[in-house]
Amino acid sequence: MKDDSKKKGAGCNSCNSSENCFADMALKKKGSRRGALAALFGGAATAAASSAIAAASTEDEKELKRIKRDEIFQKYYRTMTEEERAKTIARFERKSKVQYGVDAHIDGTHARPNTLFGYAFNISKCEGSRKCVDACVTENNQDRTSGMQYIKLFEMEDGIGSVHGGDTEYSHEVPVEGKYYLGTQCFHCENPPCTKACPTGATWSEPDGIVVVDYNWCIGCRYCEAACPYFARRFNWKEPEVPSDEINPYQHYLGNRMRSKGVMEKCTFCIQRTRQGKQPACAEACPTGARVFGNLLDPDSEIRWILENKKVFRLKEDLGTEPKFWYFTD
Amino acid sequence: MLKNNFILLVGALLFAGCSKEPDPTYSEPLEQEDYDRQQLIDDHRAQPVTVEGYADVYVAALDTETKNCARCHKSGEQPYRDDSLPYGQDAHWDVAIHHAGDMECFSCHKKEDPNQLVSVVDKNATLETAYLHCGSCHKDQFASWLGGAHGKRLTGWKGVRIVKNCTGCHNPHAPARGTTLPVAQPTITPERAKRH
Repeated sequence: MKDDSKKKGAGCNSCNSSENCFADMALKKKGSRRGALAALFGGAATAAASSAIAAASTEDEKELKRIKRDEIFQKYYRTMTEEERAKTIARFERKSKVQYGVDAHIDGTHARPNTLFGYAFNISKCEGSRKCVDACVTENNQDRTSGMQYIKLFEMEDGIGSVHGGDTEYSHEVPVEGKYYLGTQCFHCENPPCTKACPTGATWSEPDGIVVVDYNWCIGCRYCEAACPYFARRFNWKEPEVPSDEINPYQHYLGNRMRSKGVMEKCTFCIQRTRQGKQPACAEACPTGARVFGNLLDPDSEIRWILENKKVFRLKEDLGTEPKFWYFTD
Repeated sequence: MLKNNFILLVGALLFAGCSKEPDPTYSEPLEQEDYDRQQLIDDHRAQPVTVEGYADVYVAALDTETKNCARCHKSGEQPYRDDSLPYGQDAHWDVAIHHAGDMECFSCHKKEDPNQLVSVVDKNATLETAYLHCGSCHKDQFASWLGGAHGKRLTGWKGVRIVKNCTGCHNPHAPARGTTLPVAQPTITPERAKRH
């Protein structure tokens, strides 16, 4: 570390480290103590930037800091009043603008009455094209650098029921004779072990059956990840990175809004889409129609027809987690 | 007496402290206005399919414009056939039939009017209602398609259900679906690989 700072400072004769050099330059430019202080507290990330750019971005940085400070003191989303929720959402929309330059629309739609979401996956039909995985990553603003994916698509030998023998990293033409494809994601259990394990109540089951995470209430202990028998939860080991032009601006507070380092995230059945009557991104992207999504309380829905007329099974049914995600065959 | 009150008070406090689960909040019910419904049907140029015992379903028109067979195949006339070509398909050189062994053009198309389809069960199916024709042999798939276990839904989970026709996904002359390359796997970093 010491060697690094020496290298950085080597280009400037008047000062020792890059931070001091930066403060010096800011002083000359602005001629005020306040500007220099602001530039100093701008942190090491901006230290290498030129003073002109730094002066313009300090305002943004200050605002971002204010927003982040407010974030620390914000309340639990479930106990907020509607006004508090609206204010919080407005703050995150502003954060998106300042931090990423994206005009995000963050939705706060609650569960719709008489709705309980369920999912069915046809293992006879899935061809393993992995289009669902791709659509999910794009829709939900997942970190592009760590390769985080909510969906795992296993290529499995015919007759083998356990995903432990499955291959998720195949790169040949699909489908292969003698193999079948089985996708897993968060199953949105009716009796979810993850929500019970959470010490802060940051994850809970919504009235329409979606298990969600309040990213600002999550302390990153990963108990939920350990509790989930389906390996459905993903942890942000680092600050998620999504190129600004690839950020999906249609977001939901409990869904695909930008996460930060050290919080848990997972599939939300595309809450930002499904609460508006659309299909989840994976189901829409599926080229074969192997993915069926619908309302379990609607007797005319496709999913109810499947449950009544097809042979269905769920994974690890003996655990009593009651996942709302069924597999079926033709 | 005092002691009893104290126990009651502690009990009430504990009860209040334990019932932390906040009341669920709901938004307005999701409605699909008649206008949206009609708009979706118009957009997909969808036609209703009504089969008893199934929920209402609409079938979307095909993406490609169907050829007007009557342009060459005049009604009542035998179409020209060159027997040296397989199935006499000289004008349809790009059609390869890979379906149930030795089927030929007129196994499915009517000789007099190829826009019409013939089937083992007599149904007046056309190219737009090909599902009736396909369904006359593939009964299980037809039932699944009507119920929702087979086929591709084009609309959201709520409201009008518009699905693709059989020929929207399957090439009618070679219905088995081919192979494709999967979408590339995003890169895996060392720290992620370590976890598995």
